[in-house]
Amino acid sequence: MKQNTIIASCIGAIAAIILTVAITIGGELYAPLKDWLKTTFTHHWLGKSVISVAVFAVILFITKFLPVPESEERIARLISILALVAILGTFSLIGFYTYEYLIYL
Amino acid sequence: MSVIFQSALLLHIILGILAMVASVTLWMVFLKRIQNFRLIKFSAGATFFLLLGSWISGGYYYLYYYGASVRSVILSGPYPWAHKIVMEAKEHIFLFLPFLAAVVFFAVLRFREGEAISPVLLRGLAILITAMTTLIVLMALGGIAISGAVRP
Amino acid sequence: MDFYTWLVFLHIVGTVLGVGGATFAEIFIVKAMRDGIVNPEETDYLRSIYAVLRIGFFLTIISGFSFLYVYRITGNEELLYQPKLWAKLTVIVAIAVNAMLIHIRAIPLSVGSAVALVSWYTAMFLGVWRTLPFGYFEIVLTYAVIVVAAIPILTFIRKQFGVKI
Repeated sequence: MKQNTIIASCIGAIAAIILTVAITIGGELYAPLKDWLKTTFTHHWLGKSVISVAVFAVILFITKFLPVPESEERIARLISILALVAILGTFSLIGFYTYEYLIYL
Repeated sequence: MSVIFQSALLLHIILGILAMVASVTLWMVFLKRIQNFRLIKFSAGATFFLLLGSWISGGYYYLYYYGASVRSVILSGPYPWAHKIVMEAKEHIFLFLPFLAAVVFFAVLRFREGEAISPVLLRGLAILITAMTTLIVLMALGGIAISGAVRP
Repeated sequence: MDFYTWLVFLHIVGTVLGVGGATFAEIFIVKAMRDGIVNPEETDYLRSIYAVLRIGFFLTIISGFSFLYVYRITGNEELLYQPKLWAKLTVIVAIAVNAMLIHIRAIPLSVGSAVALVSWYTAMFLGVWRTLPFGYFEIVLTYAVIVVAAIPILTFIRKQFGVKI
């Protein structure tokens, strides 16, 4: 597997996760966004799945053909950022839904 | 629950558990001092494809059964937090996993027998594999909490 | 034999392999460490035992989650909230984390072996004692205390058998 593919997949995954978290929390706070997902994709979760895959695929495709500097250190840095984004995203979602549950209790 | 939804739920669980086993195997094999690259690549690939299968089967169950028949039961039962917190978090955190698994899979495909891998890259991948494995285990535990709250 | 009975059979086989494997791992570690060196033949025996342990762990995980699925589709969802079940899941996670820590040599084998032994017997005990009257925190706290106590006790027992530490 080429280094630029790994780098591209890291960037695509980071973007997909950030977008998923943003759309999810955004959709809960701004009803028209969630409604748009429902009407466009028949279900909001299906919409988030499709959008996250599309973002990953598009960024993977674009970044693969860009002249990004390749090195194992760069891959390592992006992978660490990806892990951090996943962990922060997890805490954000759990924290958000816990907060929503408690304030409406 | 019809046979098709029972099957979708069972497939989601089994594929998810197998993905968890593959991820834990990857975690253990990756962190050894002398690594078995073949097993690393196999378990990374297995984790990715099993997560995809769990995503699809779970998604089918969620879209066509859970919303219509399970969600309202949980919300009107004694444990509404099982949907409002656990399921809501789980259905979105799950979306991270195939991408994490894909990156791990792509990264380990580079490994060649006899070639040294930089310690920095090894450390980064170790952190990512640990995060991914932890999330998969949390998904499994979350699934138990959600199913246990279905009290008609 | 119906599906549920098959699951019980698989779960018992997995538990037997796990408990038996952990027990014999401890016995073989004691035998191997009597001269202070684990030679290649002893390493080979231990490797075989760890393979059996992994198979047992895998069988218990697969059959265990299958039980949970059966409870879900047969209207027995309340069983999924049993404190004993969640304590058992905690012990299972502890077994996996402990195995990984042994694997990467983050903890000494003497400590890891004690944790594995206590954990497997605890998981079996929780499975057998159907009417366990304690809550989750009581069970897990007791388990943690036994694990901590087991380490020096097993170290003492190993010394009696001539293990060079």
